[in-house]
Amino acid sequence: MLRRAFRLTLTRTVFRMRDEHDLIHQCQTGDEQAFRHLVKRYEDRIYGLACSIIGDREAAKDAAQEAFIRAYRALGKFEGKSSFYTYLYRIATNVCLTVAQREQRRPDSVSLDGMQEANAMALDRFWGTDEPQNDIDRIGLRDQIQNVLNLLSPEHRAVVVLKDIEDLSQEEIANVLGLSIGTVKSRLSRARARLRDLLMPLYREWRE
Amino acid sequence: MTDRDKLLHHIDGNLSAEQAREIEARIREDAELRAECDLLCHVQNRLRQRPAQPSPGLWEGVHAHIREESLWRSLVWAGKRLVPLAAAAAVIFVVLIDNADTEANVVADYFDSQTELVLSDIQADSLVIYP
Repeated sequence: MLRRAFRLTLTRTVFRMRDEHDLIHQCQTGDEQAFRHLVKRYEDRIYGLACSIIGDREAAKDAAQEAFIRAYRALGKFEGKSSFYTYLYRIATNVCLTVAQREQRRPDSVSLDGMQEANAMALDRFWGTDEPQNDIDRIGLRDQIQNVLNLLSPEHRAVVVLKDIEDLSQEEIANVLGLSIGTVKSRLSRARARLRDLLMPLYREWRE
Repeated sequence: MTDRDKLLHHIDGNLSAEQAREIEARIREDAELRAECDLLCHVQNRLRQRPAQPSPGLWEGVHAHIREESLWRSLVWAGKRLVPLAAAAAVIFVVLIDNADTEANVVADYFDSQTELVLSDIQADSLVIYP
């Protein structure tokens, strides 16, 4: 039974990879419908990544679209040495970081201190350990997680998102962001220190 | 490196086995460090549990952009090929016109000279008839 399930999973994975390889090849010959399949396959993950790094849904939608457009443009040079998702991930993360840095520099953006204070106050769902039971809980938790991420600079947010949400290894993060592993470790450590310093008083308050 | 710094690296598994054992012992002893460890682990767990964010649908926008780019690329492609062709055609046209002009001048000169001959003959004949 277990063996059969394993074989079925393996077959599905092989078919998926084969399917993806064919789709990429078709895209490289100018088949737009093949690219449509790839967009549909990865849009939720790329949009989720963009939301986490940028923190604004509208800007995240634009950034995710831009990432797919850039991926399509450069697809002719894609040799298949890494998986298509890694290739897409690298493009998307870089687009999102650029957008997040630009958004932060905008003169009309809310002051960081005010935003941190406002965000840190509403974390009731975040402090709990309960799994969200319905859509309202899920949206609430997601927003509060975003509030916590927004406490970080885009560079620090990107490494935390890639490590904790996207579950990438430090080597993979270094590869995606084009950094050394030492820089990734240092950014992760600084990001966690910042979260600790900002959230510790609220965490204590919540526990008491 | 302080215990607090070591804790940050420990969360990401960046300490050696010996350093990890040391910091775990310190966490057991120190309530403040334990609270920090709880907080950092809680944040990490919550981020891992982040509910998925369904996409609002990206294909329409991506497709429209790809189409537009594709159209521009076609125009540029056609332009790159048509401009030299048009230039070559223009050169050929100018050369032909120039040649045609020269040939026309030769013909005109020929007719002019013939006309002059005929006129001089007429004048000569006139002289003969009416001396």
